Amino acid sequence: MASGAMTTGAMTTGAMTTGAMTAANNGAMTRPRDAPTTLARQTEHETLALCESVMRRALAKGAAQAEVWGEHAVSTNASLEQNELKGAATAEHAAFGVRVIVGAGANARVGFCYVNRKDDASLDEAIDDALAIARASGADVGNDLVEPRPVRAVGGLYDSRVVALSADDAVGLAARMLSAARDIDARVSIDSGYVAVAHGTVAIATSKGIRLADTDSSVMWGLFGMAVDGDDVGSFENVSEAARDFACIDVEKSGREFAQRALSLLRPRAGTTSVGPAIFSPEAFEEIFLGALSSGIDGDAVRKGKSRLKDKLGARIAARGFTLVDDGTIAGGNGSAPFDREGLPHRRTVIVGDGVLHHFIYDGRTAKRAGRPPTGHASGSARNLPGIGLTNVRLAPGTLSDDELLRTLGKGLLVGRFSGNVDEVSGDFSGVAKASFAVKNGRKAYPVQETLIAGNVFDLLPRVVERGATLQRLVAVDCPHVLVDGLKVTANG
Amino acid sequence: MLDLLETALARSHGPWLELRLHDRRARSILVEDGLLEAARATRHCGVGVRAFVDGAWGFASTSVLTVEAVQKAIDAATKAAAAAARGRKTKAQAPSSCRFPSGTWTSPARVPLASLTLADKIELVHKTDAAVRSAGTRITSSSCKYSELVDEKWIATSDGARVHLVDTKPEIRVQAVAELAGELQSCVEAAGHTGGFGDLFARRSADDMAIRAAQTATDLLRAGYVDGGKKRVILAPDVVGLLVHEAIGHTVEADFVLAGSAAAGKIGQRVASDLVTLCDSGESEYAPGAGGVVLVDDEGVAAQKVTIIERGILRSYLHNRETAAHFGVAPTGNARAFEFDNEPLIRMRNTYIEPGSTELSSMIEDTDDGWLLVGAKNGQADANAEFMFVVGEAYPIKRGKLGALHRGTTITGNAFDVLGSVDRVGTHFAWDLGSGYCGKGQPAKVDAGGPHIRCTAVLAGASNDGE
Repeated sequence: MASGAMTTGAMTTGAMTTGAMTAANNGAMTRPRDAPTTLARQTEHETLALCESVMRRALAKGAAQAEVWGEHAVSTNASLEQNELKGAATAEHAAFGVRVIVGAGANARVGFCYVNRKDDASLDEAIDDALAIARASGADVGNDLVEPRPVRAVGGLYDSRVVALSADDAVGLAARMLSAARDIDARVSIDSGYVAVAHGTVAIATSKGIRLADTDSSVMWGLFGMAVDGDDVGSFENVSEAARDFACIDVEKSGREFAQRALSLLRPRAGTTSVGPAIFSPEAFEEIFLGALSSGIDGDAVRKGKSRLKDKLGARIAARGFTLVDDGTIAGGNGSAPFDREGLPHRRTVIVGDGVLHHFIYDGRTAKRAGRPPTGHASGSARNLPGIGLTNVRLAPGTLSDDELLRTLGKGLLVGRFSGNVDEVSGDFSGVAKASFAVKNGRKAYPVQETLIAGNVFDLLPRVVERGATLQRLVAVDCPHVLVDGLKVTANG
Repeated sequence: MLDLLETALARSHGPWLELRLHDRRARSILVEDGLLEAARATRHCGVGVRAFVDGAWGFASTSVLTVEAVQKAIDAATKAAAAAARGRKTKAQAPSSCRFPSGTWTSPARVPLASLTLADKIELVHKTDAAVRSAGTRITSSSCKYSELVDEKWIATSDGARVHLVDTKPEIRVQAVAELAGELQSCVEAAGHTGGFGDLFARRSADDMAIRAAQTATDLLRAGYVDGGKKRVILAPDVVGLLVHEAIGHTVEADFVLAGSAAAGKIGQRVASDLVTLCDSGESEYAPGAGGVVLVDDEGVAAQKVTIIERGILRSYLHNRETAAHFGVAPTGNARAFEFDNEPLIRMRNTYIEPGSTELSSMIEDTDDGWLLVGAKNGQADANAEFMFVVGEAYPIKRGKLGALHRGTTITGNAFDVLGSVDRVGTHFAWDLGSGYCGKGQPAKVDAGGPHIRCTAVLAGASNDGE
């Protein structure tokens, strides 16, 4: 699911820096508890000043409008490979995305260039490239930068204890995670793993008057591997976690959970061919259902007729009780930031309320084309023109414990992960149920292999029977286990 | 630029070092429904430094191209390696020694990308997008995206590698969305190659791709569903490519092998039928322009052709310098980094099954009950050799006759079981997996292909509303 800045890859830092503090003239700001250091403030100031300088140079070179998005990221990573520490890495990088518009109204043309260097020659070349693209491009009324709106600070996105983590600290965390997994059982084999510490600044200056900068920090960590018992090689398992708050870093817990999950996948058996109810883990439900749903509410897909939901605003699209909320303003949220990729404030949006579709989401250009206000969902990094994406997503929990959910299912399939294809347009999905279990007599019976599942997201959403009471955090998505009826299962048995 | 790296190397004293300056210029143009949605140019340029200290790896990078900045990155990589060494229980294998190629290596290109102006390229994308919409009355949405990577690299290591590389990789993707009574179906036709426009459009023109995408999306609206279960299937070259990449290629990457993949310990054993010879090459065997051409890898090693499976027997894994030292073999040139700020990992390049002796027509005539599968989408491999991949089109074969288009499906099976079931290998070879990327923590441009093959695998059944 394209939600939140931190979901775009563990080891890259550029996209992880859309965070927490603002420092300019867009409305009243309050500082979060743990404010960035003087050095971080200086970086904010310098990055914003350079964005403004490049923006003014673009106007001087002939742009009617210009937007410059700047990033400065510092990262420290430790990596695991083959049950050992592989190495460590550090990086400090700058990046600039220059959007220029030539002409106005129906004659407005847009061009974009990215460069990762901040010397004058490189930045001038980027402006010239963007202008050349704009002049060669077709005109569209949607090519118009957004007007400034007040932006409020979001707390809990910067932690000086995270920023202070060194390469030795990252190595220590990775080693503890590895030990925690391997100490459970020697059959646990770690193919790869990482601890990625990052902090950084983003800044935006536009010719419409937006001047914003903010700084955040984060830690991400994860493991990927399997259990091996003689000739029995279990299915891949993985964990991936993220935190803004130093106190929330618990690599040992992740290591133990990974080990237990990997071990549970040994000695798989054939599944059972059927059509009927199944429980989806939070990971599987996010991958299949929330992914297709986020594509379906994308204002661009809606306007272009590429969404099954295009005529469903105000209509029931899911079972009663199904409520999905996006909120980029949650303090400490992994997908939180005070403003989006175009400098508009994030906000709380009820996407689906009690099964009824309430909102589509837009960036500035798509909103302009659709004749609707932008919703603060412009996403992305300096490398691309803004796209559309969610921030922190929460599917409302139900009332049943996970054990009660299994008892409600009685017999069927617990889908742990999904390895397959979801057609964003039609909602059709088919693929292999990975890390999945046969459920018998209301209990997990055994792991299954070579078991395929298929269905259609938009046909199955109204068939959500129950949601678990326990939410699991998947970086920037909070989701419970979900019991859905009507899943087609094909087994090689 | 090699001077910059050599000067920085000369001033450092101590660890083994690898310096890679990578200057990537990329362009992409996206037109949807007649509107130019996005056109962009990017330049991502800098130096990545790997250090090997006391049995551990360190990495750092800089986008500042001065000797001082590179020295600072060397210092950071060395310190990172030392930190990692303090956390290791054992020492990693030092990079194996090898003979390095030298000079400038340029990937072949027919009709270079620079021969078209930006305006020409935008016009090509507009025309192709328009061709989709004019190709069918049910088409509700169209898009065409052209993108290109123009790479120049310089690699220098403290043990002697000195090489300069030039490479271009263009790609085009054409999508059609068709609608009937509220139902939407889509089809993507894509091509990605190493070289120029002569390579990109060697097999099919952009117009041909547009027409096929529109026709297939329209036909899918009325297409039936595959009945699931264990089936005899004929795989088209693009699907063969996905099979060999996902099902075998990943399991023989030596880093996966060392972590315990299903290919571990199987060198010399039968893992496929004796009709199967499976290779991975940095060059474009059998047909020019494969999308994963790598003449010299990112450790400065000349990219070898690797025969992974020879007539059904597993012969080799894919190596970087570290795993080559571990296994006591020569490095195979499979160490690849996507950009300057990525560390080299073991990756595939162009992976394929060698052609056999059966014409496709006789393969179909010889099939009593089965499916012809076309249109590779995405796929994944598992540690236990279980794979899955998605195909966009399925055609039933009954008593030797090919039937009408059915909707795509997902295929799964155990890689070695499926390759063991191969009983026909076609004559006509094609590269057809060069668009898109392989993901392994970082992207990589790869290609894969082969002839048509016949084998047995498990197909997913119908969608829940499809019966």
